[in-house]
Amino acid sequence: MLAVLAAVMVLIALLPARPRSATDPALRVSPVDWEAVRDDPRRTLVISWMGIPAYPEARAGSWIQQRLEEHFNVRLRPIFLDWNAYAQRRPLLFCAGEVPDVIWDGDPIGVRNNLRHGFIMEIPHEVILRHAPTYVRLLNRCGKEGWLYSQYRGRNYGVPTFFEGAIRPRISCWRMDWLRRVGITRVPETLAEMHEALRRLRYDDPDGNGRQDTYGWSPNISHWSVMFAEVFAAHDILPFDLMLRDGRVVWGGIQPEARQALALLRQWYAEGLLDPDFVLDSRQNSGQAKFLAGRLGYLYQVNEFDSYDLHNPASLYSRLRAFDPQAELAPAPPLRNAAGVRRGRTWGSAGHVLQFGRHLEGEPEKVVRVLSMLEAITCDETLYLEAQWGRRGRHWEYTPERGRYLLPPLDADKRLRAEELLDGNIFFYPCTLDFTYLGRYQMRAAVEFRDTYRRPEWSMQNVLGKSDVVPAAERYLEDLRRWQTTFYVEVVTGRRELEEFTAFVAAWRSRGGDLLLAEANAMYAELQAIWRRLGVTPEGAP
Amino acid sequence: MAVPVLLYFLIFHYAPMVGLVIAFKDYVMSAGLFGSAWVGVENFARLFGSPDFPRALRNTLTISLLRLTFGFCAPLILALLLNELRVSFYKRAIQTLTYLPHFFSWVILGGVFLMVFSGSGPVNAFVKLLGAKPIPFLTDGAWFIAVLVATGIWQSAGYGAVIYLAALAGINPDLYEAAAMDGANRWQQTWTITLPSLVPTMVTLFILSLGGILTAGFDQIYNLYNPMVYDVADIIDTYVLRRMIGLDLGLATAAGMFKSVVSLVLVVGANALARRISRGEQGVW
Repeated sequence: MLAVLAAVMVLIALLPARPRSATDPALRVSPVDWEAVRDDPRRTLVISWMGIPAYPEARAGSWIQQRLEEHFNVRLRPIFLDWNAYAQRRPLLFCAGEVPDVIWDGDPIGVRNNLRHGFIMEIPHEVILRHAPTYVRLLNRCGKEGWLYSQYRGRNYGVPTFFEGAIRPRISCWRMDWLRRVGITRVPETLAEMHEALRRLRYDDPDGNGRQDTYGWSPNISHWSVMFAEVFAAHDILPFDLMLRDGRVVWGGIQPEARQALALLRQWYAEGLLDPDFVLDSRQNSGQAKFLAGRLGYLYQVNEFDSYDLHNPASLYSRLRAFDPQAELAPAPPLRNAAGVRRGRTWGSAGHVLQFGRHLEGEPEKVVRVLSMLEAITCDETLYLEAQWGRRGRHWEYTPERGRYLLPPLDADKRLRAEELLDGNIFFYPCTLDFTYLGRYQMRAAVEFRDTYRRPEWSMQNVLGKSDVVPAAERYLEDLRRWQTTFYVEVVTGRRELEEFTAFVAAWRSRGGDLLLAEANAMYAELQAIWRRLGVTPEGAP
Repeated sequence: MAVPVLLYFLIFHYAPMVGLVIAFKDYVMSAGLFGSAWVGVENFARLFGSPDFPRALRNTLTISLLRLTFGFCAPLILALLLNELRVSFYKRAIQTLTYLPHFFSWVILGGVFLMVFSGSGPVNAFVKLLGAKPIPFLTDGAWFIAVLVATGIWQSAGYGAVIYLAALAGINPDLYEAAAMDGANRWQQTWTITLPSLVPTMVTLFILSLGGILTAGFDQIYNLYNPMVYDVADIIDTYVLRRMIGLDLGLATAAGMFKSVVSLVLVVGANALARRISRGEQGVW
């Protein structure tokens, strides 16, 4: 039996093989003559639309859906997936022949997967520019790196989305009552001040219980984007991102400043200032629980005003007060670097990608209709607000003191809200226009909070938006990130010597890093070319 | 009567094997199984060519062999102990308690064990009470493997014991009566009657266990591992999962086929060995 099996395998293996590149769908030429495509707005189009709604309970036929259907003379067929299952369920649906007209995708790798498996069509930049010029202008102004997310080998396969306001850095918070108790009167602003605060929170009994049972910080390493991010940012480094140095794209994690940051973290760990359980805390996501339980005095990535709002019983501050009525929570803007400038990581405004099923090559007017929808919603404040939140006066109201608030019965009925796709829904128009429109409907206190603690000029972001846009990322990036994470943790906890950093850099390069960087530099040049073609100026838009 | 069973195996076990050709193809979903291009053994070359694969294979074998070494006897010992209990209520309660963990997902158990074995967890609190330093159960490679094997045994021993209990129930009670009349004590009865009677079951289970030698327990490892132990805990399944980020089904199928072929060789080999040693009396077939 084994011999038969072996013989069959050898026979199959010897079948004439084609090189993988010969089957690359990117070499296929689109049959659509876009110049000849005409969309008659009087004709009702049925458009299936796959994405992830804000609520798992979302239902087809919502108020927002009906509003858009009426306005654009379309019949929308939403296909709701959820964050946990979409990566698994979507390929199954596609394999079963259920490829929708519009496909939302979160990552550039998802776009390439859809392309490789022959599910999506090419859509030239010029077509998007022709039918959605205002949309493109806003994208160029705030999320212009997004053009790479839909790009593959010089061709475009989707419409990038954007979140205007996502240019603010992440921030942290401190237990201010603890800091005062150990003789510190303001939140730390520099690495030296943070070091001193962590030392006192560990050794000076900030909770006054007579036991040495508190730590300042249990670093969250559950995701590369948050791992020691505030300390690296204060060294002007994004350790897991592509950065621009002297006109070249480089990997932040192998720069000399990364080594300096590691040396500092290693020293802090050796001094006992970091919770030794931080690796497991990250695995269980229990850092916040420890903070609430009075074990930690510092927490990273507490970004929104909502977390500090004592009027909101679900806020972090309110929950902290439930544990300790004397607790005081203080937001901390990003730490200052050696030059005294605050620095903090942000994802940036470039968002995700809307793609079109390849079968629309036979119905390209649907693509034009969707582009027209994006353009119209972008240009019309009322329509935009209704596509996001529903109708003012019927679903919501606004005052500067309260911000936007839901009207009865929606304010108390989560299910109804979900079924109507209300309350910040971004399903059919997956962008947020924070500066253009939404800023007018925010609570005054929340606006002041952002302008005080999360100023855009402090932000650092990946030069290509997301490293995943680089083709070699599929093969190497996940392993490299994982390997780098282990190396960093081992250096910080003293399991490896800091001197091994040089060998780490050499190995990082040889294990696919050099190829990644070569492609990243080529992609950066390609991005410049796209920007020139689409009229992007250094300020962002024409 | 056998037709539904045959149909079941045909439809759900044999027909899907056609999908193994994906391992030799540049599989494109829209082109389908037969429309995708042949790429020969390229997927296998990519699988074995990565610098991380030898480590993943080594870790898989290490963890599996340790599980087999320490985990194989555990259900047997538990079944023998349960078999000695005479108070039926107590016996049933213990049996239920020991096989209950089998039904818990590792998503839940992972969270529990992360808490139990963390530096500030109850086990280390006890260690500290004894005046010792906390033990890095989950962040040191050797300790992590020990925890994997021990918690794996804890989870599966009770369920595995059910098979031995069934085999024990099939032993002729006359044998024990005759032994007792000859003056054999409990230990001698176990050694000379119970264990020899269980040998066929043990051989069958051992051969079947060898079939899973390249399956080191993805659920358990995925829910327990962390950056400090990637070096010892990265197994073939976690390695393939990382490759799947690009929906690389050709490579995933190649990995699955590699595991299946190795398992088949081991099962067939072990069965042949068992038959040869027992002169044709033991073995699965």
